[in-house]
Amino acid sequence: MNPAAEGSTLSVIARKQPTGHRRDVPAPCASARQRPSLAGPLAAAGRSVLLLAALVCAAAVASAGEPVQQGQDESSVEGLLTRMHDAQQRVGYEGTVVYLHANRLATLRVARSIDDGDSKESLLALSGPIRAVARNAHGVTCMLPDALTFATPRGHRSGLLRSVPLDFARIRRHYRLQPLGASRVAGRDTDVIGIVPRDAYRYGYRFFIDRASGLPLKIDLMDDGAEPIEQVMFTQVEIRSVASDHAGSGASAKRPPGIAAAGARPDSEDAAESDSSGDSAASLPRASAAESGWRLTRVPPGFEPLAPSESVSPESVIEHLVVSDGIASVSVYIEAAGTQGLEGAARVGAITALGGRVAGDYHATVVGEVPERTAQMLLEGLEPPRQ
Amino acid sequence: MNRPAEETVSVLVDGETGSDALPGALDQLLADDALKACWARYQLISLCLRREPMAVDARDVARRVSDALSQQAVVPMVRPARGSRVRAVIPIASALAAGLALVAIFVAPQLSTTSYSPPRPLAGLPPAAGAPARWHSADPVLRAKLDRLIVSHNENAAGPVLTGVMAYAAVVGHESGR
Repeated sequence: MNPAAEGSTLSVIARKQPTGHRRDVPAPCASARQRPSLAGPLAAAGRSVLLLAALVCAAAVASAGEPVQQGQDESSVEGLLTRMHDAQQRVGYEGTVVYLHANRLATLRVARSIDDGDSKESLLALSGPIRAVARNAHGVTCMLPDALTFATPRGHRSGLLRSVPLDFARIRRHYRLQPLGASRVAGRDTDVIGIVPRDAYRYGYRFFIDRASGLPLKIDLMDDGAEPIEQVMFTQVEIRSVASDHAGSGASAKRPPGIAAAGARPDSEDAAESDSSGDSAASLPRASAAESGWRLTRVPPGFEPLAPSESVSPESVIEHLVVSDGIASVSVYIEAAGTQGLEGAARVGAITALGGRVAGDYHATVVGEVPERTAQMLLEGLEPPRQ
Repeated sequence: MNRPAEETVSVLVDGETGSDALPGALDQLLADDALKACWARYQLISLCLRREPMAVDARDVARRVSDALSQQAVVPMVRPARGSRVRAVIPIASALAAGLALVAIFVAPQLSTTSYSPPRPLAGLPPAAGAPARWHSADPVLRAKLDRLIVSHNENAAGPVLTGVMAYAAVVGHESGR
């Protein structure tokens, strides 16, 4: 995207107010503006009082109308994102959400309970054919219309990306973080923030974050034209419990091996800057060419390969590569040719899948919540191990 | 597997489980392979009853029948003195029985409906109208494979901003043919 186009995208997003947006702006201080003029010392004293009153009014307006201010930990965009990230791991809840995509609506029942440090989650479609997903400490079980119930155990890589703190220095290079005011969702007050992509290789997000619990009560996924691709919104939610700092955080409480070590030296400029931001201890292990047999010779800006580790994938997969820009992530699954695979692009919601033959004897499928052009570049840049 | 547990699954499939009982019912279901198989059967039955599109291929019926047959004990037959070529007949009989059972399940209901022509719930056909098929694919086996890949991706490599089951909203929320 050229700079002009990028600027227009950003301005469009900045102009758009979230649905149901409510600015809690008090009425202007009419009394301060309409005070009759006074003469002499009394007038000077009056002006001072008026100035003070005006400043107080201005501060009140600023704090109510712009609840998210930079430099304030909890109320800054970064603070809100961090709190949201943490709340998703620590808060138990139950509620009803609606999922909107392509003018089609589905109602889902979602529940998350935390019992003795382990979380159990379930998502059940309330309309149409039965669809459900359930997760616990052992793995995830899916019940979808097409296939038999299938379960995927959690591997060492489980929660790899969600278990580390957000690397804002890296994120800001590819996204703009914007406060978007306040709103109400499911009868609860929320702060609204936007994660706006700086190019067309990634999607944008708009989160409506519950002030009381930190949970995202509404999530809009936006394309590079600032149009919502899909929206998920609670219509009713009951906060059940909040785990202690180190309990119930699932993956974060049980950090997978390899994360703490983070031994791979950053070999890119981005990674070096991340180190300077003080996040190096929490950085993800990034892959070097020597670590993985398969290589990605072309990667969209900002995406970096992560070091391979044990991944629980379908049996036919011979290698699983992952790239991430700090927010979005993409998987590349490589199989031997002959296995039935996707040829071309397919989508479910905002999830893109792109498949094709690579290096003659193999088939690759790229999966992730990214635009098709990102998946295309990764697929085209895939190279087999050198003999 | 006991009857009360089966009834719990039945109520769950029918969407009649109360919100208070839902987490417990799901936990019970997930902890028991027999109940999961029961869930799959009930789901198939409910699809048939509602005459909704279904994908028999993805359920790998042919392979499962084949596997079941391969488990059948083969009783060696004593060659009759007159030298006739009687082979082990039990697998063939079982295959015939299984084939007839499938015909009974999938063909008989259609033969019995005379008042109107219901939509044909054939594997591989996209839904007649409404939302596109999952993954925009008419191939149920491919759809099932992509579902498994996205589960693997979500569990192993999903990004940090949206975690847990909410990351599956698109997978669970997509409703074909509506």
